[in-house]
Amino acid sequence: MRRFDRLEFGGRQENAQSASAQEQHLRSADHDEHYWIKAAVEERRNGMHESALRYYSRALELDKSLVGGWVGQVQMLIALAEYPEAELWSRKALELFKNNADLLAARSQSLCRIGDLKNAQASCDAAIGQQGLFSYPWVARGELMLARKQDTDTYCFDKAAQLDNDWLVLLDIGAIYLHYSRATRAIQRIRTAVEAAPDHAYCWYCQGKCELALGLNGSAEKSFNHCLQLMPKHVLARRALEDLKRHRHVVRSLFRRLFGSS
Amino acid sequence: MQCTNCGFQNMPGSEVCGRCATSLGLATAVMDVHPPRASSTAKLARRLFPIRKDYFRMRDALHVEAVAARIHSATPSLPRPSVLARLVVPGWSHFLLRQRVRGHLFLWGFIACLLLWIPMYGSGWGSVWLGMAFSVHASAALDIVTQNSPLASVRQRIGGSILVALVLGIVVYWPCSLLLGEFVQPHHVQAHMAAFEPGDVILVNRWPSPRRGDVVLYSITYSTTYFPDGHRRLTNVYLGENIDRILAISGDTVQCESGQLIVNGTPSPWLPLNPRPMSGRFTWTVPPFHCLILPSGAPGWPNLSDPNLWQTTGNVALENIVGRAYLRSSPLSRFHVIR
Repeated sequence: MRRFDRLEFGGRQENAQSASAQEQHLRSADHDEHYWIKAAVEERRNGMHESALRYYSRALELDKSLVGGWVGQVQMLIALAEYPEAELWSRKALELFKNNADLLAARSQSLCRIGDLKNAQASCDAAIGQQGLFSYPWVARGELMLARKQDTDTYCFDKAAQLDNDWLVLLDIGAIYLHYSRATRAIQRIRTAVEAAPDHAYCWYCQGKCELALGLNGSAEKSFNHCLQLMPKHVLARRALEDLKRHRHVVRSLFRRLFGSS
Repeated sequence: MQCTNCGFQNMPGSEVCGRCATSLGLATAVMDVHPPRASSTAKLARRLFPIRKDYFRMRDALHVEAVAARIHSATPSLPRPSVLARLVVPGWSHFLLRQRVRGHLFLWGFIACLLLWIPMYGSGWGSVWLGMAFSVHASAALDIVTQNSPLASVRQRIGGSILVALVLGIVVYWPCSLLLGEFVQPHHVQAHMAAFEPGDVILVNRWPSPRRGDVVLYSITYSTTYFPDGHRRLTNVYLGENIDRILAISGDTVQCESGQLIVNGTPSPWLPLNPRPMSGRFTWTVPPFHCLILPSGAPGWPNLSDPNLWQTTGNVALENIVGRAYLRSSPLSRFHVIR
């Protein structure tokens, strides 16, 4: 009954609340914050941003000093296209962790998505100026360059991929390219990620999405099917595949092939 | 105590990290850790109407233009004549100087105010919108003039603003108002007349010469009627201005037979704005520099059975005609072309 513990049923509300409190107590007793962070990262690697956000919150309920939890929350909010909320949350996190490079980069990215490039630039500069080698500030810088329509975005993304050879970074870069309707550039990064981690369903899902944006419906279908083979319960891939089968728009596909996804 | 953010080893009892200023008592602090969420409606609204994004884009573009203008204004001087000449239209000079965002803002702001002014022309709100249009135009001009030579002190700014507004008023708006006033002169109806109510705004064209069938605005003066027995009577039909139709012009022979008005031997297709049954039988010729207008809408419309009264009140001197009334522009609920 764990999945229904937040539902409210009139008079049973108090019981539900007490049950929820007990459940929470058990949860905290059973698992520590590191468990929830790990679970959040796992969900994130599967492309389940909503549940990853929830798990980051659970980790922070147990320990508010986990910077990774705050950064993860902001990143998930950005992935869920809730940019003003992400900006607000990154500001709140920065009050607690002043000058944290990843938080500054996350703020820069959220500001960039909102369109406030001036403040995004300032935040990104501050993030890169911090001590240590972090890949996320370079991802944010690359996105900023992309938003400003400057050619140095490739350099920034290459730098980010160099600093962190995790395939998730490549997928993040691909998602950024897709957000700015640069599917041809996105597919290069995502294919590299697929080569690096062919056994991860999320890579195949992202590749399918990118191919769909390019109008390559056949390839997209194959990628989604591959994703479902690796993870049969991948809801997003199943939904995308159903949509693809339901709406086989030849004209739209041709249009996408000719003029891109935008 | 080790900082969770940077790993710096702080002294026991410290509240914040000595290196990165992170709160050290954060792990046990009471605060909400659940981020705010956007509803699906809000997300959709943001996607459909990216107002915030547009605002930031415009702000950045204006900033870039301002910086470029500041670079250009290294040596204070007036803009070149081609730029100054384009100040006639707000935003035109900005386009020439490649300040497209400002140009669009000024131009469309001005056009919006003008579009709001046109239907309210002559009314109080019309004046407000015209004033707004003028201020947008003056701001555009001031923006161009001060780009190359920024006005430093408050006195200079006030003086510069007044000077720009004055020059613009004299060079652009005064000739325009003179020209416009000939064709589109607003007239406020003061009293009830014919189909018009007090407060209506009538647009009058002063240019064309009076023709049969034109609805005109004219002024009525005191008129004196001489009777055959020698005594005279002062007739005050309606002192002031009136609006009605010209039925005959100078030289026309007018006859009235059994309520039918005949002009030059043919039944007149025109009727006064507020037609009433005419009685009596008479014939006369409209004198030179006069035209026949029956003040049908005036409250003291005389008894038309008396031919003397007809001639006295109906014969209007051309000099008393203000112009052709062609549109009731205000109130908007009764916006109507006058025919």
